[in-house]
Amino acid sequence: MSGQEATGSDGFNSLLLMLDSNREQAGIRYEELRQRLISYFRHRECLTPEDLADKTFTRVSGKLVEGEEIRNIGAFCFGVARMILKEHWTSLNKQPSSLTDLPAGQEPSCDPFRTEAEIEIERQKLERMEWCLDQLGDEDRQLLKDYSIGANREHLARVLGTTLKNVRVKVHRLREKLKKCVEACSRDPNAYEI
Amino acid sequence: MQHLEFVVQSSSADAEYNEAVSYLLKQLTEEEAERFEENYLSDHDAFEHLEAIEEELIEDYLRDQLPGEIRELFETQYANRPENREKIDFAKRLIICSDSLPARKAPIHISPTHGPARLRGFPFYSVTPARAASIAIIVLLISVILLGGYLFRRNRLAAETQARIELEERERELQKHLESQQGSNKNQDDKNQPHPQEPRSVQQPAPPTFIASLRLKPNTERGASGGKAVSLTSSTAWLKISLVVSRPDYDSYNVTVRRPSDSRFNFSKAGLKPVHGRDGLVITVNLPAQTLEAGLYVIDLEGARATGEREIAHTYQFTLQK
Repeated sequence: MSGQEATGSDGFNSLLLMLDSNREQAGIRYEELRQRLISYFRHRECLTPEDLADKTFTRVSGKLVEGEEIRNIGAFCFGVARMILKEHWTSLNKQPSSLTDLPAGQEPSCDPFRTEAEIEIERQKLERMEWCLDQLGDEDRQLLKDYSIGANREHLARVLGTTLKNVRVKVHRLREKLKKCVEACSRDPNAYEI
Repeated sequence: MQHLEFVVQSSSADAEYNEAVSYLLKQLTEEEAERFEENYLSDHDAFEHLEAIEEELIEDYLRDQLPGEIRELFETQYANRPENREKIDFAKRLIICSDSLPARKAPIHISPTHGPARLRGFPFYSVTPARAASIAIIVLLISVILLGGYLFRRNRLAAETQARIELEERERELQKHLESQQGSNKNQDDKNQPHPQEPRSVQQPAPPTFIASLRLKPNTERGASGGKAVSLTSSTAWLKISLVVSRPDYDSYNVTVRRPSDSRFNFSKAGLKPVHGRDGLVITVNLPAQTLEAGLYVIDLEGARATGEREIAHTYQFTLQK
């Protein structure tokens, strides 16, 4: 590991400070930027996008400790992420990937049959999703459904008195809310009762 | 590079949409992709919009609403990548669950004249494919309910007629038996005997009319071996079994009900389609209760594809008590 990747609370604190002077807001910005980096690596077909996003932050933090002047943290992170992506591809070319290297749950499945345990897990996921959908307000739940059917989204936006882009983002935020609820339920099965 | 023309590029929002879809389906040049990435990595609103379009694209794919070329690109450039599997699975579950929501009291009116270009040539100009599918499902459900009701009433009438015929026969037998007894005792004092013409009261058993219900989840019933237990009485006409389907990826299903202890018993029904119920997708079969004996039953749900491939999707079991 290079000196640039040296982690430390100083580097991380500097990174947070770059994102926002308010610590709480900085935490939110950090999480948003992390999501964007994960998405970037995912769209670039990386199997471990979370690891690469964290690696980007580690390296950016190292640069800050070294005293590098950064004007636009988003653009700087993108530059670092691009470098890390190239390194990642180079390392993949050197080391032929093996199925056993794939993260759990991402192995290509040769068997079209699911095991009983997998069926049970899927059933539980559906129950959690159903429960979380129930937690949304009636209007939000209906919007998710109407938008998903997709017969006429532009008209739906006009009826709601807003633009298609706004409705699209609103629906995305509802899905995110739902995703967080489902994740919370899977971490603590007692959080909900069917 | 020209972006995919997914929707009519009548506004800047559509152009953004086309660019995002082109990026997601790997149709941008490396330079264009980097510019696009730089934009969404430094602007959270742009990132949220990209995420929203990605989710919309997945849902449109799962609902079979993508035009052929885009659909093909989606399959080759997006759906086959393991890192996208989680998003697709999430969308699948969301569609399954949200489609089972009850219909709203006052649906938002969707005008067909403003639909995506690909929908405008639809033969019924006032009916979108999604709405046409909904109408077809409703008509199908009503037909199934009416047919079910008709079959139930017809069966009940047949059972009642059969019971009446049996009772009449039994009454005739008793009458003959009584007459023969009277013939053999004709010399005896009949003061204390009932009048030969006096009708004998016969206890008529009530015809079976009730429907017992049983809901089974695939291979997951816990507790006693033998799965769920259901108890039938002489007044139960039908056993209605709802099979929860957690693998909805087949074109149709075949159900076979068997008794491990009796190889002669075999009830099967083919070409069934699941419907949305309280627990998600459900397939319902009705068994005539009077033909069922107590014991363990196993149900095999076979999934069939249009290509002719078949495989056991789920197995269920229950114990019948009488």
